[in-house]
Amino acid sequence: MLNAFVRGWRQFRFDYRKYLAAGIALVFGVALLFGTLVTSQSIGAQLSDRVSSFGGIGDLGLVPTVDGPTITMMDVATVAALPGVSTVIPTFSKQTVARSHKNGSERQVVVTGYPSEWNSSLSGLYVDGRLPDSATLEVALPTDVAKGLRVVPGDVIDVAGTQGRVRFDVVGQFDPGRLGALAYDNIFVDISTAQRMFGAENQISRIDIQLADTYTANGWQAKFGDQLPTGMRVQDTSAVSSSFAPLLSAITLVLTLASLVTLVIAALLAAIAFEGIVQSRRETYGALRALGASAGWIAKSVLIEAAVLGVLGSVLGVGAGFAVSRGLNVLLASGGTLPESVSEFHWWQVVIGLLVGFLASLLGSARAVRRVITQVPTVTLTDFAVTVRPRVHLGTILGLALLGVGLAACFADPLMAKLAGVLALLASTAVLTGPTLTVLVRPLSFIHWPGRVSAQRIRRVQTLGPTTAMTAVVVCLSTALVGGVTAISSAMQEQLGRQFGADIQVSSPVPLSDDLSQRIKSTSGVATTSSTVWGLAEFTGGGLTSQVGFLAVDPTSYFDTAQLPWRTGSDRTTPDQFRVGNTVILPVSVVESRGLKIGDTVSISRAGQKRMLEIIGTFASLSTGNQIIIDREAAAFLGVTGSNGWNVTADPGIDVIDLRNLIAGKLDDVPGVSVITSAQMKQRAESELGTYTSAVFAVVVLALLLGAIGTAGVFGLSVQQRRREIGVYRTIGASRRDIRSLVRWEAILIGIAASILGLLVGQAASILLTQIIAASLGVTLAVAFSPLGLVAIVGLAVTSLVVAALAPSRRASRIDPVAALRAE
Amino acid sequence: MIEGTPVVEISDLRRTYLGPGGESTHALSGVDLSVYAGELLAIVGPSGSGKSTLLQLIGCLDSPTSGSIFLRGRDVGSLQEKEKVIFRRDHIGFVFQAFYLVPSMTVLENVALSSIIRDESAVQWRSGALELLQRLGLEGTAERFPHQLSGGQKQRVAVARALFSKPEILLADEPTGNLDAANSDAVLQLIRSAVNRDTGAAGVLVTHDFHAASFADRVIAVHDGKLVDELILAREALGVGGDSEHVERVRTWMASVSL
Repeated sequence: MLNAFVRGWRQFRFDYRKYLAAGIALVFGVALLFGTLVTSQSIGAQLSDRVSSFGGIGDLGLVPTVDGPTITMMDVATVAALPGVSTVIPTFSKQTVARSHKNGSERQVVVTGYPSEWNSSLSGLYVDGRLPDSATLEVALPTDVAKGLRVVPGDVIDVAGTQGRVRFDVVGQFDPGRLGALAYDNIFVDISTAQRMFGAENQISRIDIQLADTYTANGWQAKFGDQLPTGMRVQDTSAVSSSFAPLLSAITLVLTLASLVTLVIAALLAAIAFEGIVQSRRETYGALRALGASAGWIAKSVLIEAAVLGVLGSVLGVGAGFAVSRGLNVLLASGGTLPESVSEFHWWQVVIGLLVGFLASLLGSARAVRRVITQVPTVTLTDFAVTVRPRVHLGTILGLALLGVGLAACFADPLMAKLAGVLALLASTAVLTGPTLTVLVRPLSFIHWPGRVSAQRIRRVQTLGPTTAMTAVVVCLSTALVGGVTAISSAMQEQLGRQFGADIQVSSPVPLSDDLSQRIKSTSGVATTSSTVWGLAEFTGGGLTSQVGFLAVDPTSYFDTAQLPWRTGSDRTTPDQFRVGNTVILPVSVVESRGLKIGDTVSISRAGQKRMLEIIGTFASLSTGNQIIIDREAAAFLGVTGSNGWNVTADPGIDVIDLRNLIAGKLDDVPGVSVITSAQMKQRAESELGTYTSAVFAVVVLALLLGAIGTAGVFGLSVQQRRREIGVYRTIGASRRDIRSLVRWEAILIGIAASILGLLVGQAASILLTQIIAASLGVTLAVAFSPLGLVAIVGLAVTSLVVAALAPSRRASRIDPVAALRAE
Repeated sequence: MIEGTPVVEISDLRRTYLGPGGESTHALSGVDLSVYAGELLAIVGPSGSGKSTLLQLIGCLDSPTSGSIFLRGRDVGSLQEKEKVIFRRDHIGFVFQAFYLVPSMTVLENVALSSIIRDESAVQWRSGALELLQRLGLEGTAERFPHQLSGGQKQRVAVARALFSKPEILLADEPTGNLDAANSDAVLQLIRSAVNRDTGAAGVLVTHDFHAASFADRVIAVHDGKLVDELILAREALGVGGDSEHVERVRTWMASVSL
């Protein structure tokens, strides 16, 4: 074994340049995988810390039940009187937007009002500056918020409240880690100030209690939990992590998939590299076999080379993974939703990273090793390095079988079946490459002779199989991704066009009082204004109860400014039914998941109030998720007043942009208010979708770039092996230009074959992917095709291969026939 | 001795190579030579004597350092690369020691390679190539690939390839170097049948084997890049050579010039 290791190591050192492309892809794939594992684990751990330290001030937190009344000061007194409670700390919190007065930076924050008389008890908390005094407009910020707003103690910030802007003096900043989850994104003011700015006098949103030493949190809850006032419950800390879990899981899944795809490409590139290297050593291996070396003896050294490549690539990948992890941390935290964490790795993550890279390299060498073992020695000793192979019928049968499985999955119900179908289609693309090359790349009588000869060679020799397979898989995957994004884009554009039909849409982070609504209505040029408010409530229907978001609209004006993408119902009849009252319009996803239908009765409850509503219509909502639609009266009944959204139509002849600017100017003092025209809204949505499309194309370009690097190596090796053949062509009368064309035509032809195969199978994969996305989002999506996107994919695929062939073709044209044909 | 129009005229031909250390190697040091239509000229000499270099220069695969080469009255030494390519394609046929058949092409396609690179369609060359294979006794191999042939068959296919375009100048570099006696004779007879007064083609055969050289009309010896001697194997009627008298004459002569 040691001898095999020495042989393999020497061979690797001699030919290491030929492994370059595979090595790069391997490092990249392992780095991405390792970085993803470390980042997701670190963020998850941080979230758990936040959760476990959620009761930063107290031992337990008490919060209202969704359908219970708001906690009042009387409830605080009741809790304080419970056995085992030594101290109660009531707080009031509301999500809003803060803006720096100095530089205009805005950030979503949670205003948390607490009793300032507790400042002395919080003296252990490190504060740069001080905590706010009672009944003042002073605020203390955690360092994450201060950094986001770019403010320091002494600066001024504006915060959006129900009555508009409230200006605060920043008097201090502190390390949020000291207070746990309570502190992140929370800005601290006196409780009376917070209640006043949101019109919530006497309302409490949370009570932190400190227990006597004789009680543990679980013990106290078990003993006295049922004595809590009605409408109050102990905060379930797992709900915090569960609220982040889907986002974290989704991001982890996407990144893991991306890294696995990269590793698959790395394995394919390794296959290409090993294939070429084994080919170039045919005569050496033939001579060794003639001298008595066994196939296994030779194969061992090839495997050692693969192992060396795998180890080196994995080690470098894990090293680079730390940088990737750091980058991912910063990127994910920049969205403001997930916390920024410190990358701490665990041994098992290192092991996974090393193992996956190692296996990818070994897998890539499998075909080449098999060739070394199974090929008879005499074949390797022929003076030309190419063996013409017969067609592989088994591959055709297997590929068609996989294709059949994939197509059948289009009609299957379970999501896992569809996912399996996508994988089967990708696999079929790779397997059907050989037959495709045979069928599609027939000698083409109408092109110049280098093209005809190249086509003939590709068809007969099939050494470019792995390269073509890799390109075909990338084209197939890209086609599917573009199809999915196009389907979402088409659906969203259609819905946006219908659902937000007003000229201008205004939105505020917090519900604003009617005074502020009046500012909009009174603006010159405004024809109609339809106000909305959104909130959360408990929804019961079809035997299930869960929290939903609701949009409360003015039934007399809303449907003049927006048309819903109806599934059941219409613009003509359903608005009239809605105006009757006690009705609800539901998204299709809610209806289908609960087995509801038109005419059924559901209930919605909040703050101790409950209302029964009849379902009168359904709509397919892609942009608004599970949000249900009720009228303003029902919302007021549930305790949600004010407005945080306005659909505005302009008077005829009024310039919408000018009107938009006027309204924006009137609300300029309220942080977080957004005023956009419908055109701008569509543009924004298209821009967001454009980001996804760009991301898809970035992945496609990256995959093709990696493939092109490997392909350049393949063509280079091929040119080297065909030196004598090229010498013959030159001797007989082929020009240098003909020789260049010979190599480039190979690239063009395999690019076309791979693209056709990838596009065709990719359409089926696109259908499946669209179905998967629709099922995941709970909406209906129509399969859509983007001709421009498909043309771009084909163009990129063929171009990448032709570019890869440029340098090798030039080298081929410079081959001196005399030197090439010199007898050895 | 064959007289008439010289197809190949070489005057004071020199070829010098510069080594990596700047040292000069004089592969040819002033060669004067003519080859006539219908004549097969054999060039003999030890390894490194310059005979292959001479062949490559005649075949427009290389350019002389000085001196002139006229092929069919045209000064090919001064031709641009593209013009050389066209000249080779239109007037010259090559046979190599190591066959050099294209492995991914069938025997038929290898034979018709010169037509393929002229962009002629299969309809145009197929029947001619089949006929040639038939003449060479290779009609059963038309759809086979090179790796399915024996050495002798491969060399005969290589000769067929060289002859397919009916070249005016046939150049053969050690064509029998990898063959046994029987196959060697067969290949040499093929070459002889293509280069004679009837066809009007001229041929140059580089060899170190006196038996192969005996098929020629004239043999020249090259040593250290210079022509050192010449042997004329006059024939009244040009036909195949290789008879024992000629073989003995060539052997004796080669011994006398210490080759």
